[in-house]
Amino acid sequence: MTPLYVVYLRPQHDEILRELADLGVRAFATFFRTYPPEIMAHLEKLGAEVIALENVCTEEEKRAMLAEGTARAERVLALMATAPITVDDREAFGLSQAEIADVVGANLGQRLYESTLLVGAFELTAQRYDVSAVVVSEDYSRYPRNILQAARARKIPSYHVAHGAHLGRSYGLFRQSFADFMLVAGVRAAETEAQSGTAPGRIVALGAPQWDPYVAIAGQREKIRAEVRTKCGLAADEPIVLFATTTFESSTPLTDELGKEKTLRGFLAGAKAAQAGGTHFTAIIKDRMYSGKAGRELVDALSAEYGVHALYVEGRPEYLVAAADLVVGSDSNMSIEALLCGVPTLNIWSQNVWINGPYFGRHDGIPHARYDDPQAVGDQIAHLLTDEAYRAAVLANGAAILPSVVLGADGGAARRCATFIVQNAAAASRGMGVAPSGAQGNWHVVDADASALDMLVPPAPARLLALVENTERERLRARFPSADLTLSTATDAQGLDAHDGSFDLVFMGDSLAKMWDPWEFLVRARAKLRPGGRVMAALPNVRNIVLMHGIVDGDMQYGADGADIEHLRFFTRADAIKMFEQTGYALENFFFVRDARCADLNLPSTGTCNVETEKIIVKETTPLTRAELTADHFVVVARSL
Amino acid sequence: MDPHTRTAIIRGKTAAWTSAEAVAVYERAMDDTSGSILLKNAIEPLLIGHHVRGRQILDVGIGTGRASLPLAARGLEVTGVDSSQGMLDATRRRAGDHPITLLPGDVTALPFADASFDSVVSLNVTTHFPHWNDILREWARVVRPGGRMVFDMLSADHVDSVARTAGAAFAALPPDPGGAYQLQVRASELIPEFDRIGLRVVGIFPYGIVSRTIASTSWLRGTLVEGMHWERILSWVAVDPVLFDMLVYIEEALAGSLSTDATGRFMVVVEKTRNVDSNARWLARNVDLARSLASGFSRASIEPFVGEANWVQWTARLREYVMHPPCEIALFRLYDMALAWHFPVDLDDLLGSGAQYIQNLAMRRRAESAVWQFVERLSSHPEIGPLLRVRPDIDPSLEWDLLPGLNERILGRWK
Repeated sequence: MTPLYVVYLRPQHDEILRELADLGVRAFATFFRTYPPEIMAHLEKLGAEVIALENVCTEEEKRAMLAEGTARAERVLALMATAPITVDDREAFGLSQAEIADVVGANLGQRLYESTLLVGAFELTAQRYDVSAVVVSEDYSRYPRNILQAARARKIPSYHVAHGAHLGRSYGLFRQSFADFMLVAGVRAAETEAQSGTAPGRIVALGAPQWDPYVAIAGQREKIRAEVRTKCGLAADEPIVLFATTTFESSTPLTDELGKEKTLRGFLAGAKAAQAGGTHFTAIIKDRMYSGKAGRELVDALSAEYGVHALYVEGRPEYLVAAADLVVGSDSNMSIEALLCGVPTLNIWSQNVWINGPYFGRHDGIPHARYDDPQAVGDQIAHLLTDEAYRAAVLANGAAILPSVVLGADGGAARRCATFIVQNAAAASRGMGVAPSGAQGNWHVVDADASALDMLVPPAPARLLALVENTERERLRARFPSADLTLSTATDAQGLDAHDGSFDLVFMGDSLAKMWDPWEFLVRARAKLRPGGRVMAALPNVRNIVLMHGIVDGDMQYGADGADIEHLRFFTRADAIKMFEQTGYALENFFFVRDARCADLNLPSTGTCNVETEKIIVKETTPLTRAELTADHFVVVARSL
Repeated sequence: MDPHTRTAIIRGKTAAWTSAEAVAVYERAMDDTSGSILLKNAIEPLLIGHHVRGRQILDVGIGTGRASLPLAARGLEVTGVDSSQGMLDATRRRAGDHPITLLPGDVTALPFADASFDSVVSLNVTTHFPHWNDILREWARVVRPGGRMVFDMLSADHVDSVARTAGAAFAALPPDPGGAYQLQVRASELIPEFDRIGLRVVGIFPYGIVSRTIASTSWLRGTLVEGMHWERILSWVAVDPVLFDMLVYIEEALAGSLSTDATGRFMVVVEKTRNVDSNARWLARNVDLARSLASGFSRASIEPFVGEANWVQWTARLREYVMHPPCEIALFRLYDMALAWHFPVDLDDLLGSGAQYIQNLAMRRRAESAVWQFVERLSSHPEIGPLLRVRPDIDPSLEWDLLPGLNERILGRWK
């Protein structure tokens, strides 16, 4: 069967679709949205097939589903009327049954119909194609959640590409993600996700595809500026200060709904103060593109109230940001976008910034002023427009923090995400099963002959220190042809003489077990890694059932069938994880490499059971324990903290 | 605790500070201007400075000099002891021109004759060791009669109290990832030991209400005041003097007046004078205060213990702070923390009209939980749930559709 990817992307992530096709995916299923003609033409040129899931079922089937959805909705509302659903904190909730019924009943039949249609179409498609992956731009809404659950039931891996920088509190919907993997913008976002309870092994920082365009146009700012000036009729010599409105957040009741107006007023009052002080500029107020707009009416009214001439625009933000001399935002995403374009930025603080975020720390060095302090806003605007040294310092600070916020910050995030997804999905199809989402992190069982190098997921390391036997060196070169390789023997780490922060990856074949002090080595290796760099290491498994059987039988079996005579250290999974955690790493992936000798134990892949040999019985094992008992060795991938 | 584990902890902890890396960590913390460390570095030396007496001061486990370099700068004669030569070297460098005597030594074997010092001070030392009573006895040996000992400890009373008020929710929290051994003690364990050693309690001052960096124990867990987002907010104290002052004031003046169950850490101030009756009175007051506070933090529960003047000063100061919007949000988060653990705080008493915005935010926070609970109950309802499901193993996933509508109606009510 043809491998097929199910995709549901926000427009800002459309490039991932193109990249997936460029990486060889030739069949896609989409639902409830169309993609830009140029991307569809590209797919067609490559010969890729695109199925719209909403068109898979016949009209007759759809009618039956709609009727069923409508009937179920009526039944739901009838049940709610007779036995109302209540909450413990009625005072805070405070909604009447009529209000609740209004919300729940709104389009419920249609919603249930759409979900039924989608899942039904997905199931039919899965009969005809080898569905290899589900890729969604955020999985908080109903369609992706339906599909992800249907995919999980079939052990199809799923990927959630995050939209923002995730520098805020995870609340309401955003506090739990469904997909097997969360592809997030950077280390900061990964921290937020981990704090919300997502197992670290499910979180991968690859950059933000939606911000690739900002990097791409950063070099064309003069041209874009001229175009924007012409289009908006602006004087050629007057600086542009772009203020971006923020949204009113209805995803949670814990919000200051006046925040949008507070920051707009803060900007206008600040602009007035700066202009009164003799700093001349054109103020452009960019409203949000999709939801949560401030609206022309409010902007015009407030501009008039403060006596500031401000141009109201709605348009592609990247061009406006690139055209600006200063971007004033009230949330960090706008600041990130400005910095990606090389434009200095100012944040206007209002209470919402500290209620839900996004949060910048003081050390991030992004100038800020409070909404209720117009003089401070005005001073910052004036300072940022006229003091070249200050502008340079703000940009330098931005460049320093960006990599932790947006990995790479190089415009290549869509490609990295697509590469990760394709390689990871391919690994899953080879039996390196994706672990169920849960607190135990991301673990996989791989074949006995699997090479550790194949288990490394992107981004591919550019600078790599490898402690390997001679036989592995060629394989290493072939796997990372463009990497800058520093090779060392298994236990003699000359590479650690390098400067701190020299490597993206330290790869250790069978090395750590042969060292007297692998803990000390890992600490030293961490210093040689760039921030967020990774180690990858193979470790012998002492909890191997064959080995334990031999010991119980009185024979350590040094040699090919038992323990390696060169090993000085032995590890169980827990010991291995603890060693990495104690030495300053966060576990990303844990692979159990099957011991071929355990194949005839015929252990089930699910449920609880005893594992027995002639000499020993391990009682009530879980799948994870069985993976460990039957593993020859482990491969650990961990990120430096 | 079995003797083997006890010995292993003592040895392990003592050895842990000898590495160059440990010294570097402590040195970095001295210079760290990020929020919670800056606050910790302000509050703890401040308390030590307030309560120390006399001119000749011994700092046990001096580390990199956090507690006593400010005392040396005040002109006091400071002697520091540490088991780590690396720490002593670092303190020597940091002391600059201030004279200070530094000696290697163990917390239970101080290289001094009896009654050599006016005060013994120590920061973050007893919290690491199970043999705290041996340690205190040795420290008391080198203090002159009438002299003082000032040191911090982690509060087991606090853990008991949170467990009591929060019940199952507290028990359900995952174990603290910190992992390493930390000593927690109850006031009722301390007093008999002080009686045996011959120490009179001057005061035990709780602190550590605003950050887990200051007190790693439970109070803040699972609330808006936990984790890196709160820490990122705290980072602004370095450039927001009003916020900084308020948080230090909350620690020193407010938390410091409460009973030992109020926060995760406390500063113990004892005098080398045998006075069993005085200690018994102090303990009885602590118990009474804790009992009164169990009903919540209000004028009625606290004023009889701290006096009207203190209460009036607190409310005046806090009402001033709350005019500063960043302080308002910080107070909201702290208030939310108290509510999360079912500890009522009478904000009207404390803040007057300044309470309104914070109370409104707290109500919104409660509404946030209630909305979520509603959607969960709808989805898992035995009759309605199955009707909402496309397949038995696919949950309805209606949150995205329902939450905005419910939220907007709730928000509309508050307009």
